[in-house]
Amino acid sequence: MSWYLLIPFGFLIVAFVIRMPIGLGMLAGSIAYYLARGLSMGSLVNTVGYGLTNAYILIAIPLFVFTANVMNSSQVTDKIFDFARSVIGRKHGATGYVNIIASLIFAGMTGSAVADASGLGTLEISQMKKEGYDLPFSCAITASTAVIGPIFPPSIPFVIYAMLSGASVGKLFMGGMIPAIILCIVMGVYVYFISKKRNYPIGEKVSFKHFLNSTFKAVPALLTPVILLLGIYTGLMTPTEAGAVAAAYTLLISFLIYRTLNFRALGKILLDTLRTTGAIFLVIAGAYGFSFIITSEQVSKIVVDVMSGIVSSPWVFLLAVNILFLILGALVDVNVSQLVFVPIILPLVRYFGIDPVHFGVMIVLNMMIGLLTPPFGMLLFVTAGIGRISLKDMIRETLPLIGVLLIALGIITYIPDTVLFLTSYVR
Amino acid sequence: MRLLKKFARLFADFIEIHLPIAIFVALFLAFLINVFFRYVVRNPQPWTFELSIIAFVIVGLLGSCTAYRKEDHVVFDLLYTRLDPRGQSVLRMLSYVLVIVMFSAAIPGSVWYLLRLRAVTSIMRIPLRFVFVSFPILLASTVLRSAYRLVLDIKAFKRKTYVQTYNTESGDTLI
Repeated sequence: MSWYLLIPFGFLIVAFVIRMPIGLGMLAGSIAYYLARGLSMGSLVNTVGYGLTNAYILIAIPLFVFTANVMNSSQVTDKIFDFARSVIGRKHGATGYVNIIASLIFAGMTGSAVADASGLGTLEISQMKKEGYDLPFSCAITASTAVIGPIFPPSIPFVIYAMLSGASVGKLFMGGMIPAIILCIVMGVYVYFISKKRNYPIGEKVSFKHFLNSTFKAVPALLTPVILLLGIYTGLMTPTEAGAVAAAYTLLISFLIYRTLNFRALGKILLDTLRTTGAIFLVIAGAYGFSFIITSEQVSKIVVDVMSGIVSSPWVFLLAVNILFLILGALVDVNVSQLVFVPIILPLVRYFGIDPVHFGVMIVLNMMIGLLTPPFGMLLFVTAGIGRISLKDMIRETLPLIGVLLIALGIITYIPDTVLFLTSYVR
Repeated sequence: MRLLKKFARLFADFIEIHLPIAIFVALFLAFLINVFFRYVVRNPQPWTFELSIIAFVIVGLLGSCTAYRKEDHVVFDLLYTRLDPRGQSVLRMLSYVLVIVMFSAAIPGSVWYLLRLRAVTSIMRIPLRFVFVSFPILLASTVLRSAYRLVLDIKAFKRKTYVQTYNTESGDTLI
């Protein structure tokens, strides 16, 4: 390791201080390193270009983003929400549970927490407000349930983690299923107690006819995750191909069955897809530059040597990583913490003999909780913006939910079978 | 000047919006054709796989230009939001200067390398330089946009208004 390593990380810190886009800061830092080392810019072009051409699995990202945008623009969310309401029926705080169920279903279609919060969130918060729930709680539960999005398959962070670690995307997707259910249960328990305490409204009585009707309307949308997951787990399609087929299917149902999409809206969906994809890929391009530097400077080896002397057991290591990433999650964006810091930690995961799929699900859940923690919690900003409440009220109401999610994180961290039980069925 | 701006806008629209959207559509269609030929006709077409990878690289890198144009990139603004408009203006200008200097330094080397790159893709024999050229385009587009915004910020600084005059709520001044 040489002093040259200070250059890219110095640029990254400067980017943080002067509000330079982090991806640009990473690229600028990489360029400065290459120049200082006297390396050809051609090798940077190669690192980024060949890195992307070899990362076939990443093609799933724009396709998942596209599917999420189609779902959000074509009001498929309404059908999912109505279906979830008819499932829950008459219960204290029914719409709180509906929020959880709807997020779980939506998670099976999109794979992005922010897409969940901004798409379903608008509907959920306005409905909860109409029914007399207090706004900070409505926003907080909406933000917290959005965490399920990238844990239940498909998942954009799992795809990126698969690229970084070489873990199987199919196994990661499968490994996220039970943790997603655990998240639903712990949040459901929270809604139960808070609804009793605050006497939240009881849900509407749902007749069998209404249940059948809402189910019938939701079936085309509900088939999206079925197509995706069956396609992947029957071995019929790769996750990327399944992403393309799911995107085509959502387009088809939005145009032909629900008739809620037109070509003008499709133009906006394509532009939004490009914007989101571009924002993710700049950080990925920067991360390729960084990973070259980290490898050349043998940072991973040094991290393993130092950390293995300090941390003695996998349990302590997982605790330390969880604390580190919770702090990082509160400060930096998910893509940055994943693409910059996870590769540094991965050799230690191997050193301690931790299953990379278990670690992947744990770290993604950890980073998703980071989306709820101030000051960088994107979900806080999105939902507080939708509900038009102050960030202070939002944070106050979200803190107990973060506590609940941390309990789930603890369970998933220290009971690996919560993740690995289902993955043993994937070839 | 007005004509120049109009041309610049058309060019920026083409590079940052129309071209990457068209390539994304091609990527999507290539995938669907791939799935159709592989699972329905049972006659896989390798070119679809290669086309989708090429399209993906271009969409990712040109999409980054779009995201920069629309200010969608991830930023850490904890310090920035605590500053007065003057301080914010100084930070923005610093950021642009840094991007312009570093990215400009990388453009000649990247272009020189691509001019000499003879590698082609294995199935369709497309020269890789046509694919990897998206990288220097990303660098150049970012430099030009940063330079334009820097000029606008310097003007605002001189007027002592300090506020950002591009990508405002009332409208975009995107060139």
